[in-house]
Amino acid sequence: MNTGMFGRADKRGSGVRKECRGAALAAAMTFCSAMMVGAAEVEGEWRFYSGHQNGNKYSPLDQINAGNVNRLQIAWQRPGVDPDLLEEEPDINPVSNFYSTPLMIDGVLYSSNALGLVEAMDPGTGETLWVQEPVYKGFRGLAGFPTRGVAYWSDGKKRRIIVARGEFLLSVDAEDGRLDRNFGDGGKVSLARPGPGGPLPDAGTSGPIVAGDVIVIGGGRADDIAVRKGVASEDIRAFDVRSGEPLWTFHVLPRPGEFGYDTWEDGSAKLGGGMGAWAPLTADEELGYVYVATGSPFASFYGGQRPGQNLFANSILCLDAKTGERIWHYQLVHHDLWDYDLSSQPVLGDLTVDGKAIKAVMVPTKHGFLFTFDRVTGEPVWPIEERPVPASTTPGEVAWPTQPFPTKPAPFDRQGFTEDDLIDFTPELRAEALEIVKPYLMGPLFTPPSVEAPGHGKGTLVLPGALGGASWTGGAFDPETQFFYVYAHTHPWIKSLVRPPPLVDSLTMYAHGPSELLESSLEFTEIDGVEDLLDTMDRQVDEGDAYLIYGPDGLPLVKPPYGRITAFDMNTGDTVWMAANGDGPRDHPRLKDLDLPPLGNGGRPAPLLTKSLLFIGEGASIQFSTPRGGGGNKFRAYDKETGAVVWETELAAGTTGAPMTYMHDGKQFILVAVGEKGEFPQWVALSLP
Amino acid sequence: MHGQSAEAAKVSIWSGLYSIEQAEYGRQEYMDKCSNCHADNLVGMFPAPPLRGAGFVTRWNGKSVRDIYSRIRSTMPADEPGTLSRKETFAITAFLFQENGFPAGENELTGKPKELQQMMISLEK
Repeated sequence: MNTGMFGRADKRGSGVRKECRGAALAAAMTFCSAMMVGAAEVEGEWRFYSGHQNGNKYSPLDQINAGNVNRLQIAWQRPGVDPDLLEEEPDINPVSNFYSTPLMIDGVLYSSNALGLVEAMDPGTGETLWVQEPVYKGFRGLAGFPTRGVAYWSDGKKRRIIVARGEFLLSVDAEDGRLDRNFGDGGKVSLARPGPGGPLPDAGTSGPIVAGDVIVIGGGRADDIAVRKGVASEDIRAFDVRSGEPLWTFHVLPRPGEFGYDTWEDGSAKLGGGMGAWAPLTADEELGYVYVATGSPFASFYGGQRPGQNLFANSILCLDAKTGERIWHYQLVHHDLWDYDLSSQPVLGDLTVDGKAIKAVMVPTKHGFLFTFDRVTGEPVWPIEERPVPASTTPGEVAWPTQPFPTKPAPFDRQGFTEDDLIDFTPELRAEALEIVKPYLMGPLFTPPSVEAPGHGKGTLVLPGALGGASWTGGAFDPETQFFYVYAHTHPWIKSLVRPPPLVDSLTMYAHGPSELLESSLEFTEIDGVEDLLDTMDRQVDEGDAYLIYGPDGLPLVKPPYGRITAFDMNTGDTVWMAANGDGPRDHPRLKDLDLPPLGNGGRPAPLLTKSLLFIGEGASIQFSTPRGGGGNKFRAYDKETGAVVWETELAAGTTGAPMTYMHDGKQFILVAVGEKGEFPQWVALSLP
Repeated sequence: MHGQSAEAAKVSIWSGLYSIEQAEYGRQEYMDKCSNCHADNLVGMFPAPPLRGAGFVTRWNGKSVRDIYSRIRSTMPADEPGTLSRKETFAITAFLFQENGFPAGENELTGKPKELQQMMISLEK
């Protein structure tokens, strides 16, 4: 056992001791926990990843408001891993893309830290109270990745933090960080699924949810690994929160005889897997339902070997939390060819539409729609029309002839790609942009990817791109005003198909282009000096950047905004306001003399709603951003009624996680994870002086 | 030898921070534990990034050997992070340096954290 985490004397002398063995907890904590049973709502706490089980990212706190937000200052800031542990293990260097959002319960912050270990912190100072007991001894127990959220459960006596990490689902004692020996095998349950080269650890990136006494967890592998044969379908699984016993499994890829099996024609359901629901889950304990947004089918850019609609890919699922029975489902993209996996947490809210009370579930998507359903029945709140969409030109591919278009609310991102979408800040820029797009296929939303070949073009320009639109950053819903807020990143992607190098276990006839990526990388085999590489700088070979297309001189290719926030009144489905989030590239040499308004920073910031304000960052350079390497370190408060910026500050780095808020010792805090390429990720907490 | 004290001046990657033999051992380790995602020729398979070329080198430009070494050791292989020993991690780091055109030297890449922090990855010779 690592001495860095256990058996150390408390160095701060606070009520909660940073040690595990035999430490009696502060009486105050035990007293509090006894009063707060289960998932009961407690004002000033943040008991779920998005504040509530309904996923609304809303807190009624109002100590920080428009009148004083300009006095907000950094209360504390600390590394994403216990500093003492870092000192003892100098080889620790977690990823900078730190997307953990803590919970705040009974006066303690609980989070997946930057290594994915549960860490408890003092909400007033950020000091580490404990780091969980790892599954493995030595360095292996420490190394790992963060998850977006952890889940909390209590029966009034026992209190547990449930976390998914690496191969395992873990139950950690909220009092001291020890694994719960009564849960599974010594505190852990394996989540591994069969893979091509052996079992794949599959805890996913977002973490589990607890509904009643049931833990539910989705999937989380990148879709791309599912181009290979032998990858299991990422079924939704449930476990008993006390024992870790498996309770039920819902097959996202139906088996013979199950509903949906025939949406994989020619028996293609037997071929592949994947379809992990990687976005955070939502639950309505009153109804006893869990809401799941699922991922793309295998080989998400080429579907020649999976003809049909492909249920339950790209679907919103309503499942009975106790049994896993499917109550209803709705597929939001048929036969996905664009990597439009559902990446946002479903958000629950109660609406009044045309005088009728509706318990709704709202699902923002990568392709820029906000789908809204009656969450009890699955009936669309506003009609969803199946409209004809373009056919595929790719040999072997049969695109599904129609796709679902919600009639309300209006799309919150640019959809489809025409010359009218190209930048036109100056006639010269427009002319250059026209030149850039010449070799590509363009068309309306759902124009399929196309083959890249000599004389055939360089593929399809897809907008929204595979980054969204919306992403895991999701939406926020105000239960008092019934306004819904969603952030969108506008950046076209190249969806091109190239003949792959022979892959024995591939499920696709094509590799994802552009072919320059493969070719330029192969050229490096012969390099004999790093200088040669500088010539290739414009080839965008880093981290999937090759799929992105840019305009002249690194400017975006399409009109602004590149990052926007849209507010909808969900009682009417009408758009209330839309605001560009951040300055964007308006200081670019070719734009700076044009006196442009804010153009919006494209990135991955998540919103936080309070009584009167909407807080949001700009995303971070470590994540996909527009312009490249963009993101931004600004963190803002918007007037949530008008979209006006009330206040902004600059953080140490861009926000990588979703912000949260809580009250502690009479003070409201706003806490967010930040990160930057090559820099150690941190948490930053803001409060009034 | 990288026996510098913590106060020692920075050492450039262009002075040859690894041995040919070590990079060869690193190649074997890479093929065994890394190539399944990053590909035999290091071009990567999204979301695993390329480990050779402009993107890779510019990403680590200006960072220290400690930065890349500790990142690999803390996060890779992504399916089983923390399973590489120090020796294996140094060897894989050496192999990546070799594949990106940085020269070999006489000694193996190794060192204490403070020493590794003085070894700088740089595009400039």
